[in-house]
Amino acid sequence: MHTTSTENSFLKIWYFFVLVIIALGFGGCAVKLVADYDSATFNEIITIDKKVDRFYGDLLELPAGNRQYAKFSDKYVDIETDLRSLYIRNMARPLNEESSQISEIILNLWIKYKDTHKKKDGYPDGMAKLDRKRFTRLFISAANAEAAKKLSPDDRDTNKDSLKE
Amino acid sequence: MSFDIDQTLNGMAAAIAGVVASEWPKIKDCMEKALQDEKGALEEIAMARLSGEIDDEGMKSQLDDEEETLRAELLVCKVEAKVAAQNAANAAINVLTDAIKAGLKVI
Repeated sequence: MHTTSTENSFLKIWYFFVLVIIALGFGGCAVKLVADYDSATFNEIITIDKKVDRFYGDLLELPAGNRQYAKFSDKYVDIETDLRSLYIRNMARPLNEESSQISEIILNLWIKYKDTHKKKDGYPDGMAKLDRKRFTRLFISAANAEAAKKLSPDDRDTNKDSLKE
Repeated sequence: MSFDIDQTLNGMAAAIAGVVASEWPKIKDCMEKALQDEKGALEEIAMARLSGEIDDEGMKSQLDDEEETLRAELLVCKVEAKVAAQNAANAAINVLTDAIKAGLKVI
């Protein structure tokens, strides 16, 4: 079909506006698959890790027969509160499924070990040492999962973090 | 209007390939490290059982917990993979946006 010069001009103008809309649309649009990095969450992970490690350090200092649950119940509750807070903090962030699952794993294991300690009213050296190392690995995982979000070029703006350092 | 779609698509593919090429080794390293750490942990559990530091019940509990720990370590690799995919997609979109803007300037 042969188009006139008027129709060609009209098509070019129409085409121009469509491309302007596309360019403007793509200019403000980015693919997002993971949550933004949050320095407050990262710092919280480090802080709780220190508390857990201190817990095990204090426990292992006592003779195995002197580790009744009652001596540690307050610390268990305190740390469980921190871990639950970390879990909720992660769950509240969109596109943060992996960090949420990691914090849930840590929370569940902490509760498991607390319940076992309470039931047996003791915590043998062998189990305590292995559990302590496990928590170290888990907190490293939590910290690395958070730090990995910093690799996105779009997430270099620290003003977006929940707490400014 | 100068907008070569084939050239633009090639540019987008190159942008994606560039990001994937640089990020894949890190993801691979992440997975290998997770497995190495797991191997180390299982060896420690075995040694603890053999030396009598833990009993059979304790060993079973430790092994159950290692499943969850490995899952946590591999979740880190999943985050890294997602960030790589995100960066690759956005690199491709930037190529497209630049090509469209360049084409608009010619009109």
